[in-house]
Amino acid sequence: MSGILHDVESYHSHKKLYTKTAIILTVVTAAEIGLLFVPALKPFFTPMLVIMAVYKLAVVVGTFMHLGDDKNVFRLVFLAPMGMAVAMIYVVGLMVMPHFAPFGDGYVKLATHKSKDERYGTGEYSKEAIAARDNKPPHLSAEKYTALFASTKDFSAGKKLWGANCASCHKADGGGMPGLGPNMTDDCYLHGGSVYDIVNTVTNGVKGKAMIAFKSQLNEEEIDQVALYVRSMRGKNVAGGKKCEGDKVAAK
Amino acid sequence: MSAIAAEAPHDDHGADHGGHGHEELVENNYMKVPNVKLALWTFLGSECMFFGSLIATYFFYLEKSISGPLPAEVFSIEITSISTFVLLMSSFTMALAVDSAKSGAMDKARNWLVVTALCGSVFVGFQVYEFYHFFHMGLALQTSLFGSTFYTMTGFHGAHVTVGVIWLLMCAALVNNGKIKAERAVVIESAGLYWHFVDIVWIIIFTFVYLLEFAK
Ligand code: HEC
Repeated sequence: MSGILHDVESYHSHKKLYTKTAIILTVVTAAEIGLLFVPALKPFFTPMLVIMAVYKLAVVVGTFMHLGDDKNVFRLVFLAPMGMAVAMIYVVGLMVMPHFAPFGDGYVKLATHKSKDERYGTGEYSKEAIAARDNKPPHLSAEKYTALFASTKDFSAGKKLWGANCASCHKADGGGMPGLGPNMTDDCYLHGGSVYDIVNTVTNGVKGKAMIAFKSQLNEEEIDQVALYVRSMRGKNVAGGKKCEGDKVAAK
Repeated sequence: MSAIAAEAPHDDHGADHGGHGHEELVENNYMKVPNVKLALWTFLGSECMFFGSLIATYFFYLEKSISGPLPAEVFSIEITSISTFVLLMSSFTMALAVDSAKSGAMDKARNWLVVTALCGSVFVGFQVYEFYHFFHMGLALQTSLFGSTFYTMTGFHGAHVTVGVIWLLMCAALVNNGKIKAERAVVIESAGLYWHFVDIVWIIIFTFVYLLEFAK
């Protein structure tokens, strides 16, 4: 029954080989980490890291586990499942990983696949960026609106729109309602008091506040009319109006 | 090869070895390999599939978490590099333990086994610290797909290291008591195979999970 018990006499120590192997493993690991600090090599990071990891794996299996010069049956029972595991990781895992698949963006696109920015609301998907994109700027310039207000005598169209759309929160006389819309007849504004600013507020609303965006309910002309009417209310200081909110502007 | 022939090695129990069973060494008649080693390699083959599934699952769900923290936010390359190095060196000390045992230097073998177990404990310590740290950064097992797949994968690896540490310490104790002699070095060698395997799993996790995260 030779071969069952280990024979000390015929054994040759592998210490030197193991020491060499340990040094190689240390150097390769240091190289892997060091690589990340060389931005110039960035395009090659993934392939280089993969090659180094596979090399380390082969060194450990080949030297420390001496699979290379052991019996065939060990290679069979170990390497066959390892091959299957690698195939599984590749097919199941890496093909859906956008950074790894060899053909561009990954072959398998999941319905849930979104970029990091989309998912976490950063960059072009941040709240601010989305709000800015959604915002519709007033269709006239600030000067044109000021001139338009100066030349307008009849605010009746705006007044009607006001009664129908705004009075519920800002009150029919524009004096404002506690907990709802601010007073429009004082000379204080949270979001700017020029006609342009008012058009902007009415068009896009105030995010997070009851003041909704009217751009989908009123057309541009109607918004202009109601904004001109709002501007005309300034300085009327109706009785029972809410007290000043925001910054004071010149009264007339 | 008949069934009778396969049974044959049991006959020399007791007769040659003074009543000490060497079942784990019994040569498989057909393949001429110690059973314990064949069993170990086969087990490691199944372990390939086990960790393969965990790693594949991690990749499958990578970048699909809908809430943070993200891998790049929690990973610390310094800490992981140190623990990786410790584990890598423990493979070296393990190889030295097996080499000493095969050379007949059982005291040395015991010492290297203890050193290897110590390195393994240091690695587990780092992992406990890492998990604690990640948890306090808001990443729990149930936080996100990243949390679930990451903790499952690295947690099972850490459990393997822990089992390995216990196994090595048991081997060291048996060597110390003279229960494992040089002629049965294959017992230590088998524990070593397990240990090296756990190390190569970490080589893969370290590169593919940690380093690739920083390579993006
Ligand atoms: C659902 C209630 C509601 C309705 C309806 C409403 N508003 Fe408002 N509005 C508010 C609130 C609340 C604010 C204050 C927002 C803030 O705190 O920033 C506001 C603010 C404003 C402002 C800015 C005031 C400032 O101080 O800068 C203007 C201008 C305005 N509304 C005009 C209108 C017009 C015109 C209409 C009708 C077309 C209207 N609002 C309809 C609730 C409303």
